[in-house]
Amino acid sequence: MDKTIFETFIGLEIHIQLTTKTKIFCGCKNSFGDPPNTNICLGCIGYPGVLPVLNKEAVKKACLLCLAMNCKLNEKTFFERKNYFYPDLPNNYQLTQFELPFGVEGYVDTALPDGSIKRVRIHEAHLEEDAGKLMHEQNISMCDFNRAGTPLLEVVTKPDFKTGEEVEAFLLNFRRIIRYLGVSDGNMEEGSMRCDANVSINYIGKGLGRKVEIKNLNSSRHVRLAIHHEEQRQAKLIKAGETIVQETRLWNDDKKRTESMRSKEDANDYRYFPDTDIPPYIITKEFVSELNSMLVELPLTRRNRFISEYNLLLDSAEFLTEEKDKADYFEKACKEGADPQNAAAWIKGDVTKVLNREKMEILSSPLSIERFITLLDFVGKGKINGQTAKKVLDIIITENKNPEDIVRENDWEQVDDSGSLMPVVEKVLAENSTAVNQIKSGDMKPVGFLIGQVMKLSGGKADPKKVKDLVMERISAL
Amino acid sequence: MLKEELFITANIARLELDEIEAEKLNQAATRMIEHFSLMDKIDVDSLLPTTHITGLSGAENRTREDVPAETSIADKLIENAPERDGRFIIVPNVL
Amino acid sequence: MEWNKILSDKENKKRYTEYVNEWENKIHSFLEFDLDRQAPAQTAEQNVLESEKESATVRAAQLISGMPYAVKDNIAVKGYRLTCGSKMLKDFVSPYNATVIEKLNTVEAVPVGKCNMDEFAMGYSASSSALAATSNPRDLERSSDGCAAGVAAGIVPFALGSDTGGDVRQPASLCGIYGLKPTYGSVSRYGLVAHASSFDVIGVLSKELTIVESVFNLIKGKDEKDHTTAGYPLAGKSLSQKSVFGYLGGDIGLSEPVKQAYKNNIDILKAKGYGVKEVTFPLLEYVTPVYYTIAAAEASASLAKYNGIRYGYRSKGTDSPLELMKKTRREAFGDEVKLRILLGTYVLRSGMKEKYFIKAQKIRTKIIDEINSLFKSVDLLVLPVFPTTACKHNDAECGNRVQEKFTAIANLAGIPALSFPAGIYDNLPVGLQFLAPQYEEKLLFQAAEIIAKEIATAVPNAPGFKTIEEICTAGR
Repeated sequence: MDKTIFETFIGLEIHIQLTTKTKIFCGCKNSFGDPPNTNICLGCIGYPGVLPVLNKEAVKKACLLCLAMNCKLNEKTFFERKNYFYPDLPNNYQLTQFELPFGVEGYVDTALPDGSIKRVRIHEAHLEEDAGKLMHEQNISMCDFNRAGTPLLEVVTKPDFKTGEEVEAFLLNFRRIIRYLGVSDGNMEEGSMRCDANVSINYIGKGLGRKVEIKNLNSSRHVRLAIHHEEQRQAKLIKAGETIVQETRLWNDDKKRTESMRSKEDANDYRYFPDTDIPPYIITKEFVSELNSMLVELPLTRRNRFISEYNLLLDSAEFLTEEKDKADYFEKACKEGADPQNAAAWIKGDVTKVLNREKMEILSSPLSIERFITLLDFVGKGKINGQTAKKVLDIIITENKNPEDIVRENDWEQVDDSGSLMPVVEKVLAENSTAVNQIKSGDMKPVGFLIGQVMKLSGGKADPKKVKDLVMERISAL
Repeated sequence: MLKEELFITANIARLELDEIEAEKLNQAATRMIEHFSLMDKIDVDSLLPTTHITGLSGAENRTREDVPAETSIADKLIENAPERDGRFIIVPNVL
Repeated sequence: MEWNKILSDKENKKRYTEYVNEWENKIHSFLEFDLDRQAPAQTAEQNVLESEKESATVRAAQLISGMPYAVKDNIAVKGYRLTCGSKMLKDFVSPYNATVIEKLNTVEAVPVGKCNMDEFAMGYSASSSALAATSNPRDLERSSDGCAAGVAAGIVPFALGSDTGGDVRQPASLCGIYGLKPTYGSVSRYGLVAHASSFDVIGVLSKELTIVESVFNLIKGKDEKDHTTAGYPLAGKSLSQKSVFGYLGGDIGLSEPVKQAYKNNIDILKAKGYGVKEVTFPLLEYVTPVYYTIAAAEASASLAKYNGIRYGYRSKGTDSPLELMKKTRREAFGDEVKLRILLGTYVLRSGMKEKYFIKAQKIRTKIIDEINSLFKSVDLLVLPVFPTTACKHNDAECGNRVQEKFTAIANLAGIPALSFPAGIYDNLPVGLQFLAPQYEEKLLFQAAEIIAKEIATAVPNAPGFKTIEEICTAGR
């Protein structure tokens, strides 16, 4: 699409499944991946006579996210019935918020790959119930109502995005935010975060075009690709003088294109009206201050602070603030006396490598802050060398042992006294006279080899710098 | 009510109607809609709609603690479904 | 009246069963009847009554303990069907108990059967039931819903009904018994199948005022399964000689018997030294359009859950979920239900919602305001219940869809109302009702007590009615 002629407007509708223990309107477990129709009760599959009872935690998590998105909280809210028939919707109306959602008029800042900050306005955010799931087989559809009644926060942005890349960066940042707050795991593949994109293009300066809604976007990459595709498709139509059909299209990831849904039952009239089984919910001052005390520093702010406070490079700060646990770990280590640069390098490098291999999370792994600091300290003070430190780290994590014990049991303490190293150096020099002669004649290449031999004989625990000094000293004395 | 409106409404409400039924219901519906039109006479623009009757007795937020309820009713609920396949409740969908 | 003691005797039980069968062949008030059914308690946890320490509650528990009672077939009793008078739920057995049933279980009252009713409670006379036709025990050519008929015939001492626009009070009046519609939110709706959730409330029907009051005291209170319930305030107003009763003057469209009963009863109150005051209620003509608009709208959503997928009736041989739903609803809903669903859907449609639904909600606000201001000058209101005496079966003229104009006021405003026997004309009873502010049920019982003393002998029982003692001593 020619960006000198057209501009794109993209707005998102993001559904976030909140991580509560129970469903939004009944006491069934809110969990993913159980056998079909196990987490169901009279309430969430719509038995006659059973009433919805609102989950306090769902309200709390919804409002917390609203505050984190800088939304205003409506003082009085209520739930409404959104009426439409679908086999996976037990009551054939969805309980949702419409006229008075929890959050309105917010914004979220995202750092774009070029370093600039993109501010996207949040139109509103409302709490609602998820529907069940349908799976289709030859001549039947199979209904599983485990998901019916999962609390969802739907966040609606203004059409502030201009490119698919902006949207992708936003979604990654947004996922971090909801994970920081602990309100959702934000897993797009499992559907705990789902995103629909409204895309319209128009000649520059002509304002919004006719919007097309794209669904079935299961990763932030799909979102970007679908937007690119849609921009091309719409531009082509406009250039050909055709009008864009306002419709819902599905992303087909195999064919890498959007396809019209062509639903037989387009004309839905949702007939929203207030549900009378759930009393209105009043947002009190006490509730807001409780929420404020639960708010945490968000990833972008934290990243910027890491750069200024710890002198980290953007890259490291970005890495460390990806997950709240990692950032918390880093900061705690620094507070306990770790050198920030050093700690950052270790966390970003070997620590993450081993944890990933062992499929462990940093905070729950055997690498306690105390052990991590001890390890860094050993290296800093020259008690063990860098190579040994990596081995020690591995054992801490895989065998859940203290670094002190590992070093002692393996006798890995670095040897740097000339007394015990000199016999080894002399032995190596005596056995490698060719190399020694080469060096004496001014070719320094074999130095590394000789050091390596000494290291090997010392079981890896010699201080490599000291060994080099001794080797050079002995050769020049010969 | 126009017959056409009746059919649109019936479709939204997922009620199948044939012509005879539609005729009968349309007469009754038209009479009721006329009755509803009595409401045109009164000016209540300045009033707020009553959406919740409990609002009358003072506000206290009613919520439930996030604690899973002990239930063992799932199997019974599946048995109550007219058609099922294992633990799935099924509906016809001939494509 | 120690029912459980009397019925523990085999012979007595047989006589009682014969009595029930004899009546049932004539009036068909029950859809299911099982004298041996003890409603199983849902949980082992003791259902602690909120106001257990109240002496009224203790007395109530003593009176109701062991009594058999009937339950309208839209209230869930575990193990009984929950048909709602509809083909849709004809074979649907409830897997759970309504909160009111759990509460009555704690005093070991016995739900012995489920009563016929209008399909999904859309009506007051069970004439739209898909499952049976009930007759009024006062006159078998006339109609009644099952609860009122069963109680008036002496089959059970009380019944639990539901009142959306008057469907406890109207049949109670037409059968010559008491019918209480409690304050909205004072009795849990958990287990009551919704017709219109902002109006629905579970009520009590009985021939005895003390039974109505006792059952109400046992079933009221806040419920964690129904968040529209509130704690029932302990202190309420009491009737005194200074109390003033408001009544409507002028032509309010009453048939001659009702007009006479209205006048007579106001005269009784006056003669007893209470203040009576003529009041005006200019919004009366809006009551039914507002009530029907909102009730139909709410019902159109409440009844959407019946689509043949998870339980209940399912149409055979369909090809798609859409067809399944449409055919199921066509085949299993009756005409009245279809009509209300269509109306409710229509008044909520875009383009119609402002004109009908929102407008009705706003007039509802005005009606509530006006009722509240009436209660500043009077303590109670006395109103008719039904414009005529009981209608004949299939009498289309009788009950022309404005018959809820006196009863739906209480549902619109969420206030309590008690209908009481107020006279009898040509062997057909007439009822009137007292209305009080929210949570002032006590005033209603005290007011009805005054009338009861004066009128009890004037309103005889249904012909053939026997007390349990009479039934069991007969033939000895």
